[in-house]
Amino acid sequence: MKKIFLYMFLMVLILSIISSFSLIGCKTKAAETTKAAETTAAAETTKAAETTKAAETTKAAKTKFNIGYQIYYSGNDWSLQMAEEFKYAIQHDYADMIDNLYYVDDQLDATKQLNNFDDLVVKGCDIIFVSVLDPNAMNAKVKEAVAAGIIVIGFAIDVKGDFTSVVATSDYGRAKTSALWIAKDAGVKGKVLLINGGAGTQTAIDYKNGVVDAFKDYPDIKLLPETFSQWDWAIAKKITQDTLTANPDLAAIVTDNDPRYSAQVFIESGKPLIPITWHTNNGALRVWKELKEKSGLKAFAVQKPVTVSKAALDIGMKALKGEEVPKAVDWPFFTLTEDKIDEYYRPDLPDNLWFPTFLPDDVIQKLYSK
Amino acid sequence: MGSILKKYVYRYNAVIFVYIFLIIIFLGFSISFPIFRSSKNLTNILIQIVPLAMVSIGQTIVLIGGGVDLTVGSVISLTTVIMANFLGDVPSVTIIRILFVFAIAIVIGIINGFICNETKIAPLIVTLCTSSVIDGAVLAYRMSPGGIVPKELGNFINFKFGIVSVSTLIVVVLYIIFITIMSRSTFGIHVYAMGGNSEFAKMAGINVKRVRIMTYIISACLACVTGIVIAARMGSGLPTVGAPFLIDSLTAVIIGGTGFSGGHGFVLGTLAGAVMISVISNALNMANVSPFYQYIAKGAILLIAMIINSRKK
Repeated sequence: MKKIFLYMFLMVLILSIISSFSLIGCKTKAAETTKAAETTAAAETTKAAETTKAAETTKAAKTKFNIGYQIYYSGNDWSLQMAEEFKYAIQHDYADMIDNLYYVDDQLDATKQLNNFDDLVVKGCDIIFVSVLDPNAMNAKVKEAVAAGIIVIGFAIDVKGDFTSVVATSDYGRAKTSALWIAKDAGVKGKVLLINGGAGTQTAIDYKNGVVDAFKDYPDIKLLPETFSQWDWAIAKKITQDTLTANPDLAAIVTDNDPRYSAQVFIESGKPLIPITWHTNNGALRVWKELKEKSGLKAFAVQKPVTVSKAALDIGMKALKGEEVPKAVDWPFFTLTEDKIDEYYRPDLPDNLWFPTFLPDDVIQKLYSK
Repeated sequence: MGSILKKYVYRYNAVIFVYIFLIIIFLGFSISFPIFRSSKNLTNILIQIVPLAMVSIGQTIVLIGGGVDLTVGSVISLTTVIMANFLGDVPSVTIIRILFVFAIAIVIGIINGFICNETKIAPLIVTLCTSSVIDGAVLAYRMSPGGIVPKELGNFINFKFGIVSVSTLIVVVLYIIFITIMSRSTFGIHVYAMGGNSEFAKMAGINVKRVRIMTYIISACLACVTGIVIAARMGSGLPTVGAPFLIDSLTAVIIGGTGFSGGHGFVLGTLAGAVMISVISNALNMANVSPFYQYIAKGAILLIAMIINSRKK
């Protein structure tokens, strides 16, 4: 008897889960036109190549659209803020163009990304925004979708293919700029450690190429074998510890990971800090400011901005309206020098807020006060 | 007749329950979300199920035999990379690539089985170490997504008869083969016996070492088939593509009624587990549930399935 009750209870639970989806999920109608806060006008450096005539006549006739956004990895605050920038911008600037808005999470998994893309197509999306994990794999899907009249905007990660438009920041460029600062401005000579991001990703390949090319003209710099942190600060810290033990004469670090934990290794071991390329999240800026004052840290930040999603949105919505959009948009990376830290650092906000941001203060407070 | 039916229901009650659960989920979503039952979406689901359903067969057999195979994800990644890059961009070498990946898979299976047999190291640790070696080798061979899988292979694997693709048919055939092997062949009986108690199995004259190696070879080969299907679908190789399949395959197997303790479980149950995971993922997207709530919903549904299943056992 007990068993029967248990099973009945579990069945009811399942059915209630499913029915609750139908209540909460069905439609994310474009909601509030939130009060306007100043959105920094994006300095769109459109390194325009060819332009494509996006949006067919059928689209031009529509006024409301189904919009799909693929979050490439929800386990990463950078990717999440990129999605938040998109969410805010679309509700604020394009609320009247939204019929349905769909978000899916690719979990940094290329197969899941394909599945999610297929799901968004089935749901009748007129436009899909995607940060492509495997360009070759995605290209066939994108080609089919574009042929079927769907606008596909690749963003954040630079890819070639049949996309309506790709809005990306050059990983090669930001790596080269970071490395050139080490070589020229910081005047480093000797061993340099490269802490790259995720092994097996195009971003990591481009990042390494940028660093290697930058150091070509500086024979006094010896680049140590590349390391991968998988964008995990704990791994980056361990890499720094190990490298410092094996190379006590380490002269600088170029990192595509949170630099705070590399700096921490020097503090913990009582060694003087060496030049490190930096990040622009609030926590990193706090530590940079502290270490600059206490220990004379020399750093320079070159950041792939989270605002690239907003730039992609603007391009995508133009395409939906039937306007011509560039096939490729180079969204510039953001650089920050030590004299400008105070312009961005916010002691009242949490560490994981990334700069620059288009999010107004009230939205930031709401998001990060949870 | 009634007693035979009772016997079957008693024997397969865990599997039957998983299927009932799956039907409830399927009907629930179909009624709540018409788009979920659209033919276009059903086609998608049938394609999305394929890799997980394939790789989970091998995992089931290893678990029934009392082991566990953590190399499946690595073998999938290795296969996609070789299928896209080995011997350059020459379509005519497809058969050589396929033979080569199978040869590697067999070697990996032999190594896993051999180390488990000859040492007292737990299979979990053995396969964790070999998967690390494979992952490193894959990244050393190909550090980024790329290469080209011959279009002909992609066209064949992805060819559709109505809403059913060739890859789905391959899954069906594989399940028929392995359900038959595990329920009707001597090898199947030996695997169950070994998983139940390997010492007793030895005393009963079963060559436990050979059977164990065979289970790992089957698992590696099925991971290899999965890798070929993924490579054909993606058209390229990705050195990290297999990683998510490790946890998903274990989840599918456990939902399907196979436990970690060995000696019991059913390949047919695993199919339901794999279908359930894929259906839930797809249905939550169709229901437009926020990605963050999807984790909660998926976890809750899978947990309920496992609780019920454990009580049925």
